[in-house]
Amino acid sequence: MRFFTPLLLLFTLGFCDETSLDSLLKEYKSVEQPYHHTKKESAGHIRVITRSELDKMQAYTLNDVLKTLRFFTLQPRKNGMTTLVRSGETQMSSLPAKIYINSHELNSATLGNALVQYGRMGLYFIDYIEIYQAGNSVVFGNEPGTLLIKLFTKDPSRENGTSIQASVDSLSSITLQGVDARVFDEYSYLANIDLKQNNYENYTTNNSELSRDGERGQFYLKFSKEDDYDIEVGATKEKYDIFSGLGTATLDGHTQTSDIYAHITKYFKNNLKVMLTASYEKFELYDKDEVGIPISGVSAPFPKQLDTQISTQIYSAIIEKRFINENNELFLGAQHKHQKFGIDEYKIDGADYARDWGPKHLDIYMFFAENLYNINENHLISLSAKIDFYENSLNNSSTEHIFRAGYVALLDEKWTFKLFAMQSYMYPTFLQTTYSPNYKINPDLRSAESITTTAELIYNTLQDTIFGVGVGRSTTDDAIIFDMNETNPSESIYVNSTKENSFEFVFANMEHNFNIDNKLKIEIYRQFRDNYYSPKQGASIQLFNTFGKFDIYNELLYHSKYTSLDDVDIKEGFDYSLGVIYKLNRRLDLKLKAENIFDRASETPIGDIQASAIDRRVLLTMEYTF
Amino acid sequence: MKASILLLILVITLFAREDRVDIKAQILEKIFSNIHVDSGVTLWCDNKHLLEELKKSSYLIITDECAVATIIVVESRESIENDENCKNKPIFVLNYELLKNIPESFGAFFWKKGRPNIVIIESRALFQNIRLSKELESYKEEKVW
Repeated sequence: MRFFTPLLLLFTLGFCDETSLDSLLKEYKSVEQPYHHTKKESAGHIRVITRSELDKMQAYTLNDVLKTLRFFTLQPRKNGMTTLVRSGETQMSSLPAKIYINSHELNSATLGNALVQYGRMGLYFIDYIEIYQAGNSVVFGNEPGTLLIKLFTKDPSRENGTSIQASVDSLSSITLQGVDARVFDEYSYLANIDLKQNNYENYTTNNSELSRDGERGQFYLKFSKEDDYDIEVGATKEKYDIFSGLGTATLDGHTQTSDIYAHITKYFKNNLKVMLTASYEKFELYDKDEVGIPISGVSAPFPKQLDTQISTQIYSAIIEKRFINENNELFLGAQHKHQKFGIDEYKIDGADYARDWGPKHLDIYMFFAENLYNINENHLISLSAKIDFYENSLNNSSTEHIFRAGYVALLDEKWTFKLFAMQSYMYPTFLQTTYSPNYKINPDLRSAESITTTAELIYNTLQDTIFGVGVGRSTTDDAIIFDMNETNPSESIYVNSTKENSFEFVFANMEHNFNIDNKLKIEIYRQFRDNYYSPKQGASIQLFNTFGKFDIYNELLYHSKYTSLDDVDIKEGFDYSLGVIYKLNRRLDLKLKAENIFDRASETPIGDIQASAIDRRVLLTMEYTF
Repeated sequence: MKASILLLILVITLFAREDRVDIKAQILEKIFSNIHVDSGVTLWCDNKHLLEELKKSSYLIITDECAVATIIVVESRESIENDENCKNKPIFVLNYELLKNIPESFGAFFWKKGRPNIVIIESRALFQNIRLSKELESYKEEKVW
């Protein structure tokens, strides 16, 4: 649907002799948005968040965007981090979400969920975000995901300068961000530094002060030669107070993660691309508890202190080639990924403790192909297949498959229809098979097999309004589920379910553009499944306005009430945020944002408290462009 | 039109770097229809695609020869520095760095911070007897940043 936009604008421009220069510039910016060239309508149900929207939303971190996604609730975790939970599921449910920066996948083998590790990532160097939901194209490579988030960095030729941004908020958090980008003949670079002191509301329970305050630093550099190669280097380090920890009466503790990666993309003639990646991650957890920390294999009395440190090395090589012939495009790719996992420290009460760990090496050999074919001028068919060979250090090997078929039809100038069917799998993570700080591991887990079918109908009035409605169904065999041991939680373990798991979902949305500066987005969704342990339905309203030198943004997120896995009733959430930006001059923007104004965002039970991932706070930000 | 839309889906990445010259030309047309010089505005541009697009203008006089032009539009310094015919003419640039490097340049249309921008250096325009309509008032700057 969105690919109508540039054509409509062009049509409009044909009658714009009297259009002001400012309007022409805005329209030029709109049709020149780089996402027109990267988004793949055939790859799934896509949502694009442009830089203009990110600016107006004052979306400083990835979580500021993730919290607005349909079918998901942003929740705090016991260890001070955050995660996304799919409607009805729990934080222990497997959610294969993938995050990419350009063509590099941000690995999270150590934590098993990229959304946990990168949710607080700063977005100052990101130009726009493409989000593909409910089964994705195989052309993105790597292991399959059901939620794919592609972050595209700013284009140095359009950035052309240095910008800095500083924020303080009502909880005394401080953020400093900088971006520098230049072009020198055929060479260019983009550099980003992002430093944060994040403070959150504290809670008291069992005489323990629960804090998730922390620090975070991030660095990114991209150096490119036009049409030849990109070299990307990224590093992150963050440390947070342990919040409630793994016991019931935490005294002290922290979680610390760090990662560094290098990614090289080499472009050859005839649509041939080669990518090489090396990355290293480290995760450290220190928890001290007054009562005790339940740990698998350890009988009461439980230890009062846990010190553990793990690391992962990942190496990946991908080769991709496209063959384009009139109305057909064939994509072929191959990838080898090697993951080496290390348990560098595991101590209880200060002494080394031996536990049985699962496989520490994993090699994946992947071969994938996709064919896009125009049956005629209005109908596109996509067929994809992927074969993945897994082999771990315990000599357990398996062969997994993905098959995907898609159909995109322009029924007429107003109606678009999309249909996708995908048979895929979900391979268990290291945190399920190899290592867990407290619960049991299961090296014998098998892949879950799923079939997802989705359809979307889009109606464009051609008068600035777009309506969309979508439905889908997903069934999973051998689903990897967390088998909770009620009497001894540390003996809980991930197992393959013997029952078929299934759910259905429906969503509807509307986008109305009052004009190029002012628009309204509304979305509602609902999931249908047997049991709900998180909100089953939700809605969002986003209003973007520009009045003179002011940008104003209103956002309301609704999540339904629910009863958690441990039987705690949670009321519905209404997260209302308001942002105002005043453009003082060409160089200086002043920004004010109030988040979770009514302090009614959806909450999550953690021990005896209920906490929201989004605290009520006011942020004041100043951005200066040199 | 539908055919071209669907082909966009198929071969979309092929044109990732393609510039939208048509709209760029309309913006330049709008700028130069609000600029006045004593001898009248006759434009030459070093970008051939842009030059051809500008020729569609009903307002502007476009020339294929730099020597005939009264204002020249450039995106690269090399295209004019060795050509005597292009010397001593008001220059409008399509890259902000050129505004710093070419003293004869009085204005620029360029990308910065992810946005297209227009800047007219008032003192340089005055020095070259270039008069600006009210429409360009908000794009005036005292000096190069």
